Amino acid sequence: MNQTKNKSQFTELTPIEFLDGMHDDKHIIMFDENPTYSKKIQFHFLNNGLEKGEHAIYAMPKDKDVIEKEMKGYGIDVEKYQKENLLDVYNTEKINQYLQGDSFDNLLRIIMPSDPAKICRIVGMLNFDMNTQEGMDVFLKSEKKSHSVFESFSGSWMCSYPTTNIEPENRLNWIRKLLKNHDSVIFTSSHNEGIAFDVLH
Amino acid sequence: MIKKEGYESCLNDASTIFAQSSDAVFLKFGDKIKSDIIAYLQSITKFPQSYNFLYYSITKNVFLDLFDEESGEIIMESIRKEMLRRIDSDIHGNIEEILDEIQRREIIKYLKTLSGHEHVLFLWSDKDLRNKIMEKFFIKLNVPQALISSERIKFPAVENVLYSDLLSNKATAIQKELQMITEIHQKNQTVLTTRVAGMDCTQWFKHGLSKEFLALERQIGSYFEKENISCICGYNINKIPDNKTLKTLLKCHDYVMLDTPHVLLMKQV
Repeated sequence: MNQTKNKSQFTELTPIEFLDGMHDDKHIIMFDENPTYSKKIQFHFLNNGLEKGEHAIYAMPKDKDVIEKEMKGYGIDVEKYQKENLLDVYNTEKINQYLQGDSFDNLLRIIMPSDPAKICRIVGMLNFDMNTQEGMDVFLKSEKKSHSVFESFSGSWMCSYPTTNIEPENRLNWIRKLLKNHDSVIFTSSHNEGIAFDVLH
Repeated sequence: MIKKEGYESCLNDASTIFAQSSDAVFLKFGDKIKSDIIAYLQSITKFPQSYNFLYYSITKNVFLDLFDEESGEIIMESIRKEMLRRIDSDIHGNIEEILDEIQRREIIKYLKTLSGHEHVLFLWSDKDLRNKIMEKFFIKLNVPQALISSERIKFPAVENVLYSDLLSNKATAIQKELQMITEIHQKNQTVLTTRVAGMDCTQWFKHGLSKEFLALERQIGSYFEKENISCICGYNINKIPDNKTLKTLLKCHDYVMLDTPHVLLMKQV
């Protein structure tokens, strides 16, 4: 991804434009300040993969039935893709409550398809209390781990977190650290379409 | 040194446009992150809450620091496009060039509206830019106007006097210039402002009349205060002999104008 670009290539993209132009596998983080629009972006990301025959996994701390209904509302043929074993929806709310150990490992154990060679698109969120320094430290550790294993994974991940959940005192600093463990970033806003770009390390 | 002597910028357009454009781009990150970015900018610049500044390089560095060079470029490019949308005119170039052009236009607007009693120090380093600015100063065709220069310059309705003519007799040169200004002003039968300018007053230094000319600079301010005259004293900044001379010149003028970049500063009371 480390290519030299000329000035004219430094063009900002909306999140949808960014996802539509995505060719490589990417570990993306989305900072969400507009939940309705962010959900649209998540579904768009998964749908782009489904249309290419990739496996789509939605793992967020939200009610499964509600999500499936919203997916249908967005235009995803949930029944068809589930029948073809291409779409899984998980409510991750209780993963840490019932399982011991690292929450990232727990998430992977539950959501990963049995065939590791299968190309996947995952929208996920680790369930942490991000409002405290301690919570953010643990969260950052998990994201570091997820980025370190990302290379061995075929497909793309979108980690999606509400901006308001991030510990506010050092929010920019947390974002900076989180970006070091992702390839791309999406920001959504309540006022406009937001912005998306790759982050070079 | 100019800031130390108590001058502050009196141009607002560029900083306002840059701030509004940055604001629009920051909003794409969401309200919370926008507030964080502005708070961060304020913490490093010590600027007040209002966030209205044109230090684009600081903004760029914040994004380089937060993200990386390429992301910084993307965000600055967004700000540039937003600026172009807001100014709605034929300005081109990078952010620096756009800001400079906005300031140049604001200076010209200021020069056109001069209403008398101003004594402006113009520290220039580029002859072409200097000439373009001076040309805009002499826009009134129905009032007496005079320009002192080294080479013959033809501006419409402007009496052109050469330094070589004034300096032909060093002993009377200063008196001759003062007399020329007085005579030009006496010709003014209107309520409009008499406009007078020297293209490069370092000619007086070059001919060994530094002390005498600086004495004139010190005194002539009070004459302009009484008379309805606007005067620009142009100096090639690279030919001002030392900081002491520059400091003296600053003390004699309420306004300082620069050409690269275009800046207009006013002495704060």
